[in-house]
Amino acid sequence: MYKVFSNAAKVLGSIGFMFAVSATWANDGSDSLRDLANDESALQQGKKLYQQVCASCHARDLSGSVGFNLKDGEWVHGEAPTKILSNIKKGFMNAGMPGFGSVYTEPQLKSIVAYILSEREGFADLSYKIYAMETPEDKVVTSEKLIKSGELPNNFADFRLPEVENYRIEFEGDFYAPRDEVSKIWAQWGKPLDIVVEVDGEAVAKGGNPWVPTWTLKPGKQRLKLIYHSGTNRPNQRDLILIVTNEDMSIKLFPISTRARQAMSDNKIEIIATGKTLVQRKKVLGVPSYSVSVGTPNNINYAFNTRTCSVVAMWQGDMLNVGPNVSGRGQDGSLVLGEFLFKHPQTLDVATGSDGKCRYQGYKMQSGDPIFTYKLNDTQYTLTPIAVNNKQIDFTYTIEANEMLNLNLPFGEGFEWFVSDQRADVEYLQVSPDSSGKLTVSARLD
Amino acid sequence: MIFYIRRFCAISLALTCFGHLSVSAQQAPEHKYKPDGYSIVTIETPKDVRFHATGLDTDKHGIVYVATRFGDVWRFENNEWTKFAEGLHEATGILIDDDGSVVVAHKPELTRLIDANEDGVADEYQYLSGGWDFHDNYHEFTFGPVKTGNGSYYGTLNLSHNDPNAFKMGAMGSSGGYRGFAFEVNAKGEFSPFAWGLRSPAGIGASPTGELFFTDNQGDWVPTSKLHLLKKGKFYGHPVSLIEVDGFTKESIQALSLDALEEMSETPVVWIPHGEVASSPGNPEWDTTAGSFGPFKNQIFIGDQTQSNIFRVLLDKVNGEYQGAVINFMNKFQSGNIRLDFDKKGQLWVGQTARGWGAKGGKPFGLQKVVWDGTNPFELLDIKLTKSGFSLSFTDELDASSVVKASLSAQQWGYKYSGNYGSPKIDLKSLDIASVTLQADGKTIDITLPLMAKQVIQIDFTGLRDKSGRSVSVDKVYYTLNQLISAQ
Repeated sequence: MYKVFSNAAKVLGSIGFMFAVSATWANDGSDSLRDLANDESALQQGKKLYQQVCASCHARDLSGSVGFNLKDGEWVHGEAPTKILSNIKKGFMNAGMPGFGSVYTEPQLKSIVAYILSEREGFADLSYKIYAMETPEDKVVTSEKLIKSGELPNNFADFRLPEVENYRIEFEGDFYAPRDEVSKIWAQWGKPLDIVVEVDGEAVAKGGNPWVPTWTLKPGKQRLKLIYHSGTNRPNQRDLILIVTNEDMSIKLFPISTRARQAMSDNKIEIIATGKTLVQRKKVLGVPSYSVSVGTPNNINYAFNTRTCSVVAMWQGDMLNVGPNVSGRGQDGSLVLGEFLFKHPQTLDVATGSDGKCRYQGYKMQSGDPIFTYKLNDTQYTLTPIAVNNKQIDFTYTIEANEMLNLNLPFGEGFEWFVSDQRADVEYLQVSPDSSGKLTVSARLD
Repeated sequence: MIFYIRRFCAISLALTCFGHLSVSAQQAPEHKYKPDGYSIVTIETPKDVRFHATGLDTDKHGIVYVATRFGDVWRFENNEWTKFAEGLHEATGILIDDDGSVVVAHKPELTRLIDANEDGVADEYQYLSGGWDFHDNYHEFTFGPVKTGNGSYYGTLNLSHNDPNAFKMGAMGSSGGYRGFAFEVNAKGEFSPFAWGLRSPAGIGASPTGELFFTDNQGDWVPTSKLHLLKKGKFYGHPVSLIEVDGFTKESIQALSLDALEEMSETPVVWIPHGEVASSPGNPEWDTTAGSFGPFKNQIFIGDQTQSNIFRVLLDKVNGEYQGAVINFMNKFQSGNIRLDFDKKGQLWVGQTARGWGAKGGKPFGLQKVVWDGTNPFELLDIKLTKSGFSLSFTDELDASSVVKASLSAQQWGYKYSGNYGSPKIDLKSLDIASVTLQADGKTIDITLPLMAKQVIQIDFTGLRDKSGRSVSVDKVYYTLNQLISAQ
């Protein structure tokens, strides 16, 4: 279950590759584990166990933390499914990973392996070929022009390999794309680049815009071939940045070239509210502009919008990965580290018959939590959200005027609203604040 | 004399080929330049912190405040860092206000930070203003604020890039909400658009007399980076923000000729030659240290994010209008210089970032300062237009024997305004220097040469020496000759 994910561990990589090779020909059940990776009920069980047992070290999304990345193509202790299973059973105590063989049943452990296999991404068994071409324009491939070929055990396309002026380089291997969504290969600054992408032997049409061309992948496992001609590209253009993104290119999912891997190395910067409530104003995917994200140590997070003075999202889990928004030029949105309970256009807000336009005044930290203040029409409000435990968050409104409040409640999976201990199951609710102008609305999580 | 001339030619050829002309030779000097007596001090930033210092100010006690692109505000006092605030959205400006509160410009708003319980950490994040629209586009920066004597705050708003909904006539665009505008927030907190036609205006500054200036970065509709005097209700050349100006529509803007747009545009105070001096300049900062920083008092200093250098702006006023020159000051900083601030001791602090756009200095971020040890350097101090040429003053007395025509050369060019990304030098030609005269003060020379308006005049003075034989570290000055001195 241990894999390379840091530079320090790269030395081990070549040893790991030898393990991988030996484990492959000793296959005695890997195929059945691979089959299990297509079994939805096994995957559900495996995912649940993984999140309970493995995620704290290997990250919820398997991208690695204290423990190695379990999704990419670099494996230290063998990538054969049977080897992964035995590693989970035995553990690596000297590296801090206990064995789980006596803790869980064989089917449970196999379900974890199946889940890990199902999340695999990028190349496997990647190889390359370099052809020396006669001129920048030469595209005729002959066996005489083949000057170098080999395997790439770290499974990233390395465009720095050629050492001739004019060349064609091919990368080919099995490739794992997301199974349940459309994804694309995305070439950064790709306009001058001559790239051909083949999936299962068929050339894929180039899409996107000229500067960032894209090629749509098949879901799940496929055979992928990348062909690049150096042409008249300048030296710094020849080290390609190739990344797999989601369909609308709003999320960069994973790198497939060595330079992309370097470029994305800063893409994981997790902000986790450990011990105190944190407030972050960042671009967040799925949350409208002008939102203030708040993470609580009770793993209930929300976003308050300063343009609408509404709570526009709530999610359970850790707070945010702000890496995509604070690395490079910061074009991409931060990612919530958990599951949305609700999100915009579902909103929690109060209205007093105004046009909905609020005047946000700011927030202040009091006893470690933010209190938001704003005006609707000329009426002054405050909102104090406090996660009282990991199953309940209270949103307490205060209103200066002695008015009824029109509550607009958002709904989603996994929680219910309570007002004065009474379950509220309608979207709109008119309620009176108490004599001090306070009203608390509680979200209770399942 | 003969000895001097030969020696000077050899030096100039080795450095930059003085007198050499090339339309595309927009290369930054590769050699290290710095005036005698000045040095760079690197400040250790907090450990394991992404310290992209894009907001920088010092208070009356000399305490340094830095706002970072990550969204923190840090305070540096007695060589110790403390985090004052966090969670802001790519802060790119900071101002210590008169009451000691801290105003930060970040993408969605101006926020006033208050340490109400006086524990050294901000606990109130008050909304000061945000009358513009931010559409979550990465390039929609908010720069500023600066404050003038009328109690108003001023800032500038970057256009967007790669925003599919934006109105574009080149690389950068606007989805509305005053992108490409400068803005004013008055003492009551009321927002109003102030001027428009800005592109990537990464630096705004207020002069000691309260005049506003801003820099804009080279790109579409900006042939080379520039410094402008910021005036209310004026248009500064990038057409897309006209979409929010009364009387314009998309169609009418797109139908405007280049000549019409140029005619509408304000003229820069100085053009900043691309690469040679700057590629992405930050804020103009006035040396108000009354000599604590050396001989360049009252001059403007600007850092450049790409070139990792600092250059000076030498203002001239001709027929009542500002124009002037730029000259490199120091290079070889560790990262991209985006923010400058003089503290009360006369030290020039330099906030740095290279993330996303790169910088010659290899480090991704940092903080340095320039200090002066009291040594009088030998550099060009100032340049003024005369009726027949220029008057160049130096910081030290010149060796009279080096004040000869062969010690100097000159060339001129213009720029082509268009939607293209930058402009080459247009009509580049060398100029004959007719005479060189040393004035009685021993520090100033007058040169005569043919003058033509709407040109940048580059004067090289490689061959000049001071009385102790020193040569200057920077031997080129670039004067933006918007207009000649009128006959009256």
